[in-house]
Amino acid sequence: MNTIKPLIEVRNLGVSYLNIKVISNIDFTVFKGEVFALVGESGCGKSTAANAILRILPEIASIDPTSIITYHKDDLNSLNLLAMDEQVFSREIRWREISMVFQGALNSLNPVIKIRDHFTETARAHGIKDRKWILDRARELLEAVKLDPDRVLNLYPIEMSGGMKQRTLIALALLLNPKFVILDEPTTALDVLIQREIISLLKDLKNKFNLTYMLITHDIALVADIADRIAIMYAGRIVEEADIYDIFYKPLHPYTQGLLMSVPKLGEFKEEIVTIPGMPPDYRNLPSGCKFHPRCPYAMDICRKEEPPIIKLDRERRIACWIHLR
Amino acid sequence: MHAGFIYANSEVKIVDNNVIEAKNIKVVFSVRKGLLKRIKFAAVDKVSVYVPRGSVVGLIGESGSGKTTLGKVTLALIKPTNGEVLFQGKNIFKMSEKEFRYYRLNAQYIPQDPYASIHPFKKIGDILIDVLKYHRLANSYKEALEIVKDVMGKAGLNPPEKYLDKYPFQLSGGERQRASIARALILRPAYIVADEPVTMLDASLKSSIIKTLRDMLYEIHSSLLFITHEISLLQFFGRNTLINVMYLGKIVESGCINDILSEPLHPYTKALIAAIPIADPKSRETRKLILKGIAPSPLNRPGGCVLSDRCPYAMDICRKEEPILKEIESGRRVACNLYA
Amino acid sequence: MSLSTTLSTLRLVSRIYTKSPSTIFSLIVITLYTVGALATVLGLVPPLPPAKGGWEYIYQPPSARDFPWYILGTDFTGRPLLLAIVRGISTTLAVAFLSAVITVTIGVALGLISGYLGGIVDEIFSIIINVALTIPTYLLALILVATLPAELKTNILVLAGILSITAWASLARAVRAQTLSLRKREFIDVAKTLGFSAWKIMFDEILRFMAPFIAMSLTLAMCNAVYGYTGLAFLGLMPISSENWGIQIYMAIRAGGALYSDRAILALWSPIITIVLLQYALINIAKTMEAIFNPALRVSYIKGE
Repeated sequence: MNTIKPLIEVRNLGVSYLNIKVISNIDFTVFKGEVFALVGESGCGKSTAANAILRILPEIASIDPTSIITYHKDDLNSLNLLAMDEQVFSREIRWREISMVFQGALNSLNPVIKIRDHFTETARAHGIKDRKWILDRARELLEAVKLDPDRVLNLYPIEMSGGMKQRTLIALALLLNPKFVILDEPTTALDVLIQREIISLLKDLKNKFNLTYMLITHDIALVADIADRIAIMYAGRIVEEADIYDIFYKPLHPYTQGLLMSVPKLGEFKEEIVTIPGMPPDYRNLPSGCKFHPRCPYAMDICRKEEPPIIKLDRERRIACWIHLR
Repeated sequence: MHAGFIYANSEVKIVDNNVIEAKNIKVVFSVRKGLLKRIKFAAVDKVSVYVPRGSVVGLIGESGSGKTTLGKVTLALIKPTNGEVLFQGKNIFKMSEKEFRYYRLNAQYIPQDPYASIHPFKKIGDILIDVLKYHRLANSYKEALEIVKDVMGKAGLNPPEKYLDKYPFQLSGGERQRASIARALILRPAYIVADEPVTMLDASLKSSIIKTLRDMLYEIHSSLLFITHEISLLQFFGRNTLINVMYLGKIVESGCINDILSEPLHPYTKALIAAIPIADPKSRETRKLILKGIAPSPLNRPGGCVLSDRCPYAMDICRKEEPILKEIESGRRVACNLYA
Repeated sequence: MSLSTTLSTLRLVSRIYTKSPSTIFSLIVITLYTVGALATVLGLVPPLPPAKGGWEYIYQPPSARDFPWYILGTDFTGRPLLLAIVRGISTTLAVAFLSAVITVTIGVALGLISGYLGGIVDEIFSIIINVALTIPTYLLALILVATLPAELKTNILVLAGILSITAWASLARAVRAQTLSLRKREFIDVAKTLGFSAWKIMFDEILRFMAPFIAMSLTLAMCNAVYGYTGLAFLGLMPISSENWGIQIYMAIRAGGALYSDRAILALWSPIITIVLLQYALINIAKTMEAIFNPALRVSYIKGE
C-alpha cells in the first residue's frame, strides 16, 4: 500500500472552446493500478479533460499555458505531456502508453471497413507495418475480450451488436500494450446485462494486463462496481473527490448527494420523486460564486458571492463547498 | 378549457377496465440473407398485453426482445402477422375511418432518441401549434399559443417563451425529451407508449423527466406503456405497477413490480435484477452473473424455451418443450418449466 | 411578426453573402442581371435599332457612339452588341428559371410519392424514372426543337418544358432515396401517431427536411438549363435573333470567322463571358442555399462562428 505511485498528475488544467471556459483549472492525480472515476453530467467537462490528456482536443480548443499534465512513465522518467512536441507525443505516448476506449454508441468505428482493417490501420498509424504481428495481436486481444476472432475480424461494424462493438473498441485500445487506459462512457446505450458483462470484463483485463483506468461517466451507480476513487465534476470544476466508500456512504457535497439520490434504490417506492432541482448550467452564462448554488438546497449568502476553493479535508478527500470550510 | 377543444380521452369507453388490449400478437419479419434467400423470424411471438385505464404498464427487455415492435403494434405503426389490438373493444386494424381517427388521436408515442425524434428544421413552438392547427383544435392562433405554452410549462420547459422559437439543435437532450413529451400529451390522449424515453439521458436527469411524465399523466388520467431495459425505473410509478418481462419475442414473467423485485421467479428476470447497477460498493462481489453466453440474435432462437441455451437451471424438457405463460398466483405469471 | 422575420431574414442573407469575396461577387452579378432583365421587360432599355447588313456595319470595333451600347462594337446584324446581350438576359433567365421549376417540381413530387408510399406506386414510378434516365436528354431536346414549328421555337414555356423533359429523373432518384431512409426515422412515426395524413407527412415533414437539398437542386437545374438553351442555339436550331446569346456565338464563328480572325472576337467572347459569369454566380448561390435553409448553419452564421 505504501508503494502506490502517481501515474498521471494533472495540475491547473484549463481548457476553453473559442472564448468559453469549459474546464476551470482543475487538479487531480491518478495512481498506478487504480480505477479513478470522473463523474458528472453531460457537458461538465469530463470528456474534455480526457481528450486533453490524450491531446485529441478539437482545433477550436485551447489549453491554458499554465496547465501541466505529468506522466510518470517509470521511476526515472516523468514527462510533461502538454509540453511535448506533437510528433514525439504521437510516436511515443499516444496509444503506446496511454490509450482510450471510446463510446461504442457514438459510431466510433468506421462503418465502411472491416474490423481487421481497423486493427491494421490503427497499428500502421503508429508505425507498425508487420501485418502478421498485427493480426496475431488482434486475435489475442479479441479472445481476451471474449469475442471469436475468426468471425469478428471479417465483420463490418453494422453487423455487430452494441456489446460486440464495445468489446472491439476495448481490444483496439489495448493494441499497443498501454499502461493507462481512459474509458469514456464505456457502457452507455448498452443493455443492462451487457453493461454488467463489460464491467466484469474490464476488471479482468485490468488484472491480466496490469492496467490503470480512468473511467468517465455520468452514471454514479456504475462506478460503485469498479472504481477505487471518484472525482465529481460540475460546470468544469471538481467539487468533490474521495475514495469510493466515502463518496457513497458519506457524501459531503450537495451535488454528490443529489446524484446519489437520483438513483432509484431497489425495492424503494417513494411517492415523492427526488431530483436535483433546476437545470444544468449554461456555460456562456455561469452563475456567480459557487456554480452550483442555484440548485443547492443549502445555499448561503457567501455561496452566491464567492466561489469556494477546493480544500483537502483528510486522507485523499477534497471538497469545494462553503458548508465544509471552516 | 377552451371552446372547441377536444379532450381526446374524456369520451373513451373503457371495456373491461382496459384501454388497450393486445391479444396473441405475432409479428414475423423476413430478412434477406445472401442474394436470394429470405429468412423469417418472429420478433414478437404470441404475446398478449393489457393496459388498464389510467395506469402504467412496464415492458421490460433488452434489444432483440421485441418490446419496441410490440409497442409499435399497439400504436398501429406496425401491422401484426397475427393477433388483434382492441381499443374500446374494437380491433384497431379493422376500424372504420371515423373510429380509427378517434383511436389515432388517443394513441401517442414518445420515442427513444431525443435527437432523431423531432424535425430538425422546425421550431418547438411551431411543431406544437401545428398539431393543434392541423386538427382544428383551437379557434385562433392566440388560443393555440396559450394551450401550447401551458403544455410546455407542464413538461418542464420553463419559461415557455424561451423555448417557443428554438430549434431542436439548440436544446439539450433532456429539453428535447421534454418537448417530445409535450408533443405527445398536447392532444390529451388516453394511451401513450414511451419507448426508452430516458435511456439516452444522463442518470441524474432520468428521475426528473419521469417525474414530469408521471405528473402530466396523472392530470389527464392517461395510461402509459413504459418500454425499457432498466427495470428499476418502473419503481417511480408505484409498487403495484404491472410489468411484463420479455425475452426474444416472448413474455417470460409478469406481475407487479414489488413482487418481481423481491422475488423474481424466471431465471432471466433474476439475471436482469442481479445486473442492475447498485449505488453501493459493498455489493460488488455478491451479485454474480448467472446467464451463460450472450443473447442470440432473434434469427437463431433456441428450440423449446427461449432461454434454454443460457439458463443455468436448464433441464432436458426445457430444450424440447416451450413452457406456457401460466398464472401461478394472483396476478403473477411465469413461463418456466421450474414452476410448471 | 411578418415584418421582423422579413428583416431578420434579410439580415441573415446579407450576413451569409458578405462572408467571402466570391459570394459578394455572385450577389452583385445576379443583382445586375436581374436588374437588366427587369429593365428590358419594363421597357427601360432602348429597343434594338433596325438591322444593317454589309461589311461596313457588321462586327464593327467598339466606339463611344450612343454610350454605352456600342462599347462592345456591333454584332452580325450591325446592331450594338452590348444592347443585344442585355436584352437577352430576360429570356435566358426566364427559360432557365421555368425549366428549373418544372424539373424540381416533377422530380421532387415523383421521388417523394414513390419513396414514401412504396408498393405498387413505387414500382410504377420507378419504371417511369428509370426509362426517363436512360433517354439521352440532350438528343431528345435537339430532336424536339428541330421538329418544332417556328412560332413555338421562341415560346419560353415550350423551351423550358423541352429542356426539363427528362432532367427531373436523376433528381427523382435522389429524392426517392432520401425519402426511403427518412421514412424509418422516429419523427415520422410520431407524425403518424399525431394523425398527420400521408400527404402532410410527405409534403411538409419530409419535404422540409430536404429543403436545403431542393434549393440547391433548383439553382443547379438553372445552370443546366442555361447551358441547354445556349447549346440549342449554338447548334443552329433556334431562329436567328440578336438577343440570343447562343446565336451570337454561333454567328460569330459562322459569319464572323471568329476562329480565324480577330474581327468578330468580341462578339464571340462577350456572350461566353456573360454566360460564364451567370453560371459562376448561380453555383455560388447554390452553395449558400444550404446555409439559408438549414437552421443549424443559419444560427452559426448569425453568431459569427
